[in-house]
Amino acid sequence: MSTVYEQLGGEAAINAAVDVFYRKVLGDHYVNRFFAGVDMEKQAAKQKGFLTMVTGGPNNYTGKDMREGHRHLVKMGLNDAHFDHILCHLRSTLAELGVAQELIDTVISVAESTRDDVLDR
Amino acid sequence: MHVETFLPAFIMFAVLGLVLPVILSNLSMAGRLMPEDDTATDTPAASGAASVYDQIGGAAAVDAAVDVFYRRVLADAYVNRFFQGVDMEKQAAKQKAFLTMVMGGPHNYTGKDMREGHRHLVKMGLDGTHFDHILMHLRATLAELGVPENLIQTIIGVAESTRDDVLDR
Repeated sequence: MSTVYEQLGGEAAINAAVDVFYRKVLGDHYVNRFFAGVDMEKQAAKQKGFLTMVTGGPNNYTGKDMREGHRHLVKMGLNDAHFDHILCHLRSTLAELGVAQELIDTVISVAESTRDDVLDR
Repeated sequence: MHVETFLPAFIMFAVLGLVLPVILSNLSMAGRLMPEDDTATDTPAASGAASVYDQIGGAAAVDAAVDVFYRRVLADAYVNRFFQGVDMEKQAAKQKAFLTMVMGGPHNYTGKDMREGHRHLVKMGLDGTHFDHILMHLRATLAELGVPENLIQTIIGVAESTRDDVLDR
């Protein structure tokens, strides 16, 4: 059975999604302070890794990575509301790219499963 | 109409150190807007203490917020289908009334209004995720306009209290 990653169109689709997703996140003043001073190229690579993971593509993300990679943000005040914003931007991105609702739900449930690691709890 | 009319009003209050005590007194008012209270047509502003609405600049702030909020919502491909075919001017007036309500300004929204006004959207598939998106756009709008986190949380708390009415459950 193919993954959502494959159904979406693989790496090319993820690249398109990264651009849209990142633009949405950086345009959101409730969350963009967490990206201040971040190296944009490295960040785009991380976003690509994240989107590949949540769509079931080839990745090597671990819960430990998610936890350690966001710990400094949790110290800056990162909480559920910010996580909710990221999920919404992900849904909006997928809808904008024409992804079907059932695939969106699948991707979002994978993203949702990272919540406790991201928020270090 | 714009951010410029909004920030000075807020900064003035913040500098005067009035923000926190007024929020505390306003928290109890927010409770009047809970969905089960269908008769809540009272205006916090008229009852003496300043509402969040007054603190952030009143009608001018709401006008600025409507522009930003509406732009965000319509740009969101996950939710904008619910606004297709909607009369934009009427919709802007409704958004203004909604933002005025969640900010504790003078309004006459009731839980019944919220329920009946969204029932056709629920039939179109409106669910908790769409409601989450609207809350997210409201938070992003308020943050963009420089509203401090504690006031954002108060406003979001009021908006959240309408969830069951909006989703007709």
